[in-house]
Amino acid sequence: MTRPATVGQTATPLLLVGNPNVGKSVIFGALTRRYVTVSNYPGTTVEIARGSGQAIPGNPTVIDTPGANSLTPRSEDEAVTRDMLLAEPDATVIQVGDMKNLRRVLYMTVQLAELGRRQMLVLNLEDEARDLGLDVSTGMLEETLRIPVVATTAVRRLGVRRIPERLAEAASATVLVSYPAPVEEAVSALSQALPATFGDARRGLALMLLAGDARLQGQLSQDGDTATMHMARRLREGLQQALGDSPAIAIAEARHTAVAALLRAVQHGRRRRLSRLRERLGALSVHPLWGIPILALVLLVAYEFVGVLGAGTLVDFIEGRVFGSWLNPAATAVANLLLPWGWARDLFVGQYGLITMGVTYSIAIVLPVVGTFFIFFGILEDSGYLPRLAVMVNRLFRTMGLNGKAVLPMVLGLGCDTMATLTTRILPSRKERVVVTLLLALGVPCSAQLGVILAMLGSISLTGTLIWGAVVLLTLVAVGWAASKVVPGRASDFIIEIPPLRVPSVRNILLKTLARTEWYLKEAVPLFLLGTLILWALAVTGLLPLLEHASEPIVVGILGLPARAADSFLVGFLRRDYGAAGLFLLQKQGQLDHIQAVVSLVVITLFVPCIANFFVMIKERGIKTAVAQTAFIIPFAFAVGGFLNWILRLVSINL
Amino acid sequence: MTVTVQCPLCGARFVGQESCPTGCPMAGGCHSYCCPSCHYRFVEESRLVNWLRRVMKGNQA
Repeated sequence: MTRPATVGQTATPLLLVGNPNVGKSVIFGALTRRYVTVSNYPGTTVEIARGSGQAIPGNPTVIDTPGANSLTPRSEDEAVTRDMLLAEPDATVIQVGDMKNLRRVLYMTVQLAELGRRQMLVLNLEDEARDLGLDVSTGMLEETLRIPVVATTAVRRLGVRRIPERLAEAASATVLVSYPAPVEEAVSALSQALPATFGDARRGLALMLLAGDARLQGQLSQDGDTATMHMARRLREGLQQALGDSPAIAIAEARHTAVAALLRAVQHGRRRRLSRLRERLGALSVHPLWGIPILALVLLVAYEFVGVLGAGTLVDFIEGRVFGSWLNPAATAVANLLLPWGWARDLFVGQYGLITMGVTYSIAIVLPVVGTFFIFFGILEDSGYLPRLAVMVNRLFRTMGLNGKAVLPMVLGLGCDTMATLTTRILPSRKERVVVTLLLALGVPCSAQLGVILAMLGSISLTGTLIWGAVVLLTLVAVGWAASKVVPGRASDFIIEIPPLRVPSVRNILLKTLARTEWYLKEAVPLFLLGTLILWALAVTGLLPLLEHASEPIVVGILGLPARAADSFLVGFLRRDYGAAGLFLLQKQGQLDHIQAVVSLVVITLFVPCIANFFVMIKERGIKTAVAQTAFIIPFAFAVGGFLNWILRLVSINL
Repeated sequence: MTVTVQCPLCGARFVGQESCPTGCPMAGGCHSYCCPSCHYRFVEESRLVNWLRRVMKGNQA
């Protein structure tokens, strides 16, 4: 087995091991004080952080392993953690666990004990456990396990100092697990057959092999221990017959029984229960059947709040009254007074003027829409519905045959595709990262764009809205399905902590919306101004009419849209919401009928990513992939739009 | 100043400044946090928002 190189230190290295989402990285940061190097574990894409333990006498190397739920691995992350444990046999293990989920923590403690690892246990998130009414007797746990147990609230640095203080007492934990007699006999026989170099880890390894750990079996076979692996297979088959069940289940059950006994002794108090309604609603929202009407209701509320209130009432007032009647006429009067040159007046207050177009689009049209969308998104976040949405979307992804983890970047894309593209790093294979990057760029509208889309949908019929949703969804599923055919490998498990449903705090929603609006103003407005400047320059040099004329066969001929819609697709390269805002204005001015509105919405949704996303695509996937994906998306978006236009005109649908 | 933030997606709490993945091309320039647990990204609150949060907390206390 490959042993990763360790940084040259004299003290025994320390391995941080624990379940995901327990604050391991915070403890790693506190122990190393950020003297860290990050590299991929050999042969994998899993990042491992190593640092010098500045807060520990002797400055030992501290290695942060990926979060794992079990040491019998079901994912690449878990496999790396297990492999690192085997590759660093002399390292002391600092197991970090969530005090609220002690059952899960102790299950891993049992597995570490079976591997004979010298360890200490850090129970983090103590404050949250106490808030929930849970009281864990760390003293009794220490006495039973005979290892040091430290309670911490790492994000507030509470208790963290006790980790280096107690490290010297680390020992192999004592946990009594009563396996069925045939399992014990098989473990004993297999342990003796395993190479003596594995030392105290042999019992744990025998249990892993009997539980059917194919990866470990493959690794040991590669190391030349084929006879023992044959023996393991025979013993496992024998156990299957003797137990009438999978040995893995018998082993897990015995461990759970031992953990339950431990829990009864050391954990007092009961988790405070949520109200029955919230519990019921939380369960229904992820139900395969009832989850769908709940999701539909959430979308309907979004449509009414963003599409009708934000895009209707607010935009009518700000764009029509504030900008249309007051600010733009005033700006035009000032420009006429101060600027004697026609081109300069056009630059500020003309058809493509920085004020009359750039500022008006970004502040009067998009801001009210994204503002209401940010409020709605904040409510979704704070209510705890977002992870439930991820669970629902995951089901759809399964039908596409995509990796369960792929759901996260796709949901995050609804916030910002650029950030979501960065998040594709969590996907295990390059092919999956490429596919999800493509789907994000193709058909997941970012928050700002989604807001403007909802605004346009707000003024067309429900049938039009359903057609838009169905075309985009079907396109995503079809492209995802086709792409998944060229992505080999088994889909991994999708594990996400689902917090309870909560009633959002108004104050928090307002502050979050303010933070997001600030971010939007800083990021989007300069790009809106740049886009306007480009349009103005193209108009002044006479290139814009030429471009509009050149794109007429597609925009007018295939899509059936007015020639001016080409401007929206042009600025859509800069920001997709800018492009959508142009279409929104065309619709408001009565230049788009309902079929044209739906077709243009489909095209702008499937259109190329914004410039920021494009640069991140280059950075993450390389220039060839980014250009190839963009080259696929542009004609594909027009083709889907053209086909939709043809169908809708053919059936003469009344939207 | 160390800021502790809570992920709106999975509820994990972490130290904001330590949240960005290494090698990220936008590190430091995107003004967002990345949850080390579920990788959700969300907008960093500006000084103005932080100040307002403190003021509102103070008024409530």
